Amino acid sequence: MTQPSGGEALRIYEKTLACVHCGLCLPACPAYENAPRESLAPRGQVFNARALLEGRLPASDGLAEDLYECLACRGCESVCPAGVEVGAIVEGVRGLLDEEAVEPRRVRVLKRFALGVVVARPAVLKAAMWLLRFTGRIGLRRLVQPVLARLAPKLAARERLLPDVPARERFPARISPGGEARGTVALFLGCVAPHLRPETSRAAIEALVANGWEVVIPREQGCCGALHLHAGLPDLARGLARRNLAAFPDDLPVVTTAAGCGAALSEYGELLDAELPADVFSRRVTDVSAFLAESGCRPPAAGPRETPLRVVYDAPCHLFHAQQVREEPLRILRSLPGVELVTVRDPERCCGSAGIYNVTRHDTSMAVLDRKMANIAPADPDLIATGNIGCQLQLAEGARRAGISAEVAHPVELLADAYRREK
Amino acid sequence: MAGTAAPASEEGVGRALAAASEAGEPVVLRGGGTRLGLGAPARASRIVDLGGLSGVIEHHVSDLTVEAWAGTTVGALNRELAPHRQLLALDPPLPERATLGGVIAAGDPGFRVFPGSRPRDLLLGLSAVLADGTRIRSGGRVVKNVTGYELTKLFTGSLGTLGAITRVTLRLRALPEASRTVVAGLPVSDAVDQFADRVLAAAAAAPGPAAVAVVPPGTGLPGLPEDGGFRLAIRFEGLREEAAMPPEGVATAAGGVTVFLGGPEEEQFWAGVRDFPAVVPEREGALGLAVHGPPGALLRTAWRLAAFGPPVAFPDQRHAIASIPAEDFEAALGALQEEPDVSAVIETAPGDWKRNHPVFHPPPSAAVAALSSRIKAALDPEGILAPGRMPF
Amino acid sequence: MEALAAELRPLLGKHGFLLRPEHTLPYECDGSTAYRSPPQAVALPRSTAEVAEVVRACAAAGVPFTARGAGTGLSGGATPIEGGVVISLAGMSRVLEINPGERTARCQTGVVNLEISRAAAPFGLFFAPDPSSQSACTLGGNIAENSGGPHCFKLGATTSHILSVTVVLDDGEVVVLSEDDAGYDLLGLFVGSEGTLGIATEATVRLLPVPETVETLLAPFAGLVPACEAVSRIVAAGTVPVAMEMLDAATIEVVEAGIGAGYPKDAGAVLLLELDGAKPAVARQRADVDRILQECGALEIRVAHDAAERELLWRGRKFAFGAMGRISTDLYVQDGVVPRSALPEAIAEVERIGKRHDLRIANVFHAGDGNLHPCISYDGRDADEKARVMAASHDLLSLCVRLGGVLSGEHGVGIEKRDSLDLLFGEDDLEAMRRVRDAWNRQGLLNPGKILPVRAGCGEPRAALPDGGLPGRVAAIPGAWI
Repeated sequence: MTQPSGGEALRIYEKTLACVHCGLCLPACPAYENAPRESLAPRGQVFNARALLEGRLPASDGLAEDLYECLACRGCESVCPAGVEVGAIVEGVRGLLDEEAVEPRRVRVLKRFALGVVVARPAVLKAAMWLLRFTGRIGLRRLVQPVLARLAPKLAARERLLPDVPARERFPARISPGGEARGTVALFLGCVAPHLRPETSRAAIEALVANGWEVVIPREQGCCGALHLHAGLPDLARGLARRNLAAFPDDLPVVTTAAGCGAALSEYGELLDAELPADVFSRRVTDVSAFLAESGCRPPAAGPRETPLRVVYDAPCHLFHAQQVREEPLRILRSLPGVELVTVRDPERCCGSAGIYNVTRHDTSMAVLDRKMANIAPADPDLIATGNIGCQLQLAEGARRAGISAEVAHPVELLADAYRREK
Repeated sequence: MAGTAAPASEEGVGRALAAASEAGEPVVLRGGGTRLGLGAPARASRIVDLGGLSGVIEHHVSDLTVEAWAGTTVGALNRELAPHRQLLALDPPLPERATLGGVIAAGDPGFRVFPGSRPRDLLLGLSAVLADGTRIRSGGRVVKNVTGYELTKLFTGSLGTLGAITRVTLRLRALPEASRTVVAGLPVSDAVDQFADRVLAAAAAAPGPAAVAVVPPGTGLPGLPEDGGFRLAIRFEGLREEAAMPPEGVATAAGGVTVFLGGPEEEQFWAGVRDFPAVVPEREGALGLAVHGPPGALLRTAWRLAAFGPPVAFPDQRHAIASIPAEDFEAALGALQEEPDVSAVIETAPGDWKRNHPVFHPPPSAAVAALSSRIKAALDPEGILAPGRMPF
Repeated sequence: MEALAAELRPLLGKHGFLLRPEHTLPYECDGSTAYRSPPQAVALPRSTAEVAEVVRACAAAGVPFTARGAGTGLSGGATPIEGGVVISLAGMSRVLEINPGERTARCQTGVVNLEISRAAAPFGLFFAPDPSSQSACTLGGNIAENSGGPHCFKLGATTSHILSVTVVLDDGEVVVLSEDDAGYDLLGLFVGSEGTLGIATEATVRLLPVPETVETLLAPFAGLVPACEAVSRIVAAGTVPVAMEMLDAATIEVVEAGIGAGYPKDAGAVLLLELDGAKPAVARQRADVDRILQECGALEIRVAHDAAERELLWRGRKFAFGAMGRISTDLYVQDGVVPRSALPEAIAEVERIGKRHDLRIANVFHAGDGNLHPCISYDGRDADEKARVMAASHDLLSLCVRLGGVLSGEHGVGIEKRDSLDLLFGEDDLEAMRRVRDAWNRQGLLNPGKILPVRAGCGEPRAALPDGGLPGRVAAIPGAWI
């Protein structure tokens, strides 16, 4: 048995030593629930990581296969009594395996293109979104879908996850409240969210402004790098992190509307390893629901609806587990007139979206989704509220699969809507 | 070669069994002789009487455990424990004769409600002498134990076919502060399903009962008016507050007249319930059946068997004792077979009846019989201890 | 193994029979990392019939096999010490039926313990055995080890709650062992047999009604001795709390760091007590308990006001072992039992043993029934430290026996205490157990190397332990992980 001598390998190895193999993480893992073999359980992933770094296991494609089956939901971290950083270990080993080119070549090329060229570059992403919007608008998408379903059903299933891309919304650089502002916050938009679901960003702005905040939207911001980190491309993630650090002013709170982004931004300190004042930045990052709840969110005074809106809250993993924001979105939802908040079993269980997991591991993603919908569907909600773009798209597909007609929206959208109805 | 050996010590037991093994002479073991008829007839006429090994070995008062010689009677033990305000919560028939070893070997479950008042729940450890005279120990003197194989469980209910139990360590409990029994009359008009449902509902309505018995007319038990219907008797004991439990839910669910028993009358009633299995053999021409099964099926079976003779049922313990005339056996078997989850054992029978009729209904499966046979052979390879008593 | 794979893959599916090291290596140990031995293959059957087929095939091929649930055990019961096939029942995890009228539940044995109570809750019922690992451990594991838990003090360990089990025997034959069976109490023998007599695939369990009232109390004390005194007096008073647990200062420190259950950090010991029953009975018990706690010097008496507070108090206790992962890479959890009256002496001795071997020992225990769990933190990569841990472990076991107790209260003998069984039993006792076992385990393929010391011709251990064995007793297997 050997031990890594230094660098990234040693950093990851030391994290694996915290695990005493108690197994309490097993029931928290959606990948293990789907296929209960030990190498897919958090404990098993940590075990294999340690075995790899000790030279007991070779870096095989089988190892990589199971490693990428992890959804990185960090549900295990919420349960682990020893504080094992499973997410960081899994991502770290993915990075090491990428360096050793363990995955098949076409996978590596594809992920570098999709993430490194399209997602990471705002101009390229804009063009891709334009293409999707255009093909949707002229009816080409709808025409192609049945053909795709027959010829390439797997691709068709993934294509279905993308909604119609709405008209492009341009956000001003600065939005001020009427009257004296309480302070200023910087809004992080995210990469695909403003294209696929601009109403979330719009609602966040409205809600912040309604509570007296001035909102600035730095122009030079870009993708947070979460997807890259999850995909084993930490260098790309670091580049994106540096760009965001440079784009945002030094002293403003940074508010996010996507749990995945919020988690990534708040871990820039760890990612950049004290290279830049990333730590300081990380500490300024808050999710919009937490920010509003902590700073004081005015309960909307709107009148009751004709029929109460039945809402089920679904906790995004990167909000509940990674950022430990648990109560705040519920507090906001409870303050809304005409909203009936219905509880379901295991709201913090992953929906299966997990970044682009629903593309890379579609079958497991759908199995995890269907289990989640089995908890939600019997509650017959009108709306499922969740604070992450990926989860929103996934749950919309989930509603379709479960045959229920629930809408899916960010909690802040409901808040902004209530403020609007006050007038 | 018939005859009785009555060793006075554990070594004596070892010598007696070793001698029997040497001579190839099968033996039956005997404690108080209250349940000797259990099982199929054994092909042995020599008796080893263990009544001479009697007395408390060590009573660990603050731990609530006692180690005693297996020939001690339950009654004698409880008299020794009483000044310490403790008791052994086992209720074998005829406790002034029933010995601790015999109670374990017979495995009568008694009638106290869960948690744990069956021999298997209270037995912490034992010493036994095997057929070849070897002495073995199993278990310990602590209540939590998973060290090695549970031979204590294996010996429980083994009817003296695996070894002669010489010492036992048992779990005790504190003497209850107070006790009260509620007796509710069940409507005569109830059909079989209603009867079972009603009893289960009434028992479920009782908060923390210590014993639940369903008693038919004709048992001759003291303290009950004889007006033709079944009665549900529920005992509450423990702290004063527990014994004073209000029984409204029980009375409502049972739908009948409620009578309270306390003091000596209550003791007499439960003593009668306890001794019922031993009373059956004294009824001429009667078979004593032990019926086992899940509560609902058990109660329905008890209702059906009432047509032949009085059954006393303990739904929480999943067993009932019935007394039926031997000539009605075939018909009674029909009644038993109406419930697939229910099984029965003919415990006592007059004269030679057992030689001509199987004792276990249904008989054990081939796989269970084979396994049990191998276990018996493992501990008694020569077949010295009551051969033939078990149906494999 | 290839032949076995060829035979079983068509039945079990592509991922149902694992051979690759990245899939099989994680099965080399259970919750106790001191004993490791990888299997050659892992089978993942989905039904009783599939389990039977796997067993039949292994038996025909003469390959040893070991059943496994969640692998949270602490004595190496699921560790395949002679290699062979691990049969994982983790995929057979459903509650099949709840019968509220009979108060029973029928489940596959891969069901998670806590899941049974969750399924029974809508009917006002619960499954009583509650080992600390209950959120992850399986019913099959509970049956194998006769698991206890804090609530078994009043309600009994797993064996009191199993009504019947479907068992696959050593040759693949399937039998049902029931409490109702006439003849030998095979079910009673089976529960606690640590997977060496057969593989349980389905079980019908007893459910109990959820009590009307539950009160959970936390009482800090200046030290373990006054806390033990309180426990003795409560029992002597005739009050039977449904649970009585104790944690020492070393454990409290780790629990608060890892879980934050609200245990007072300056206490020498805390007593976690639970009373249940009908309201008037609980009120009476509470009065007795409060009086005794105060008389024995409790620094305060804290009561859980709602389900969330109760859950947090219990979480601190149940996740304590895992929390110790914060302070070391490995953890060795002991499981000795002493008569309750001997607890104070046992505790003092445990401390002395810790000092003698220069080890950090944190104590968690079921005070009500004298079941100790000294937890030794160590670094498994340090051979010297590991040897000291094993020596301390042997001393602890000897201590338990000397004080009139036994070697294991709920974790089982497994590999861990196998070679210490002769501290408690003589050769004749072990021989009787061996013969009974061999009646079930005819070829010796069912989870071999567990419970009973292994004998070969000249009395030397046939399958030596990896160097986690006792000093002077065993040798390391060449190639075994150290």
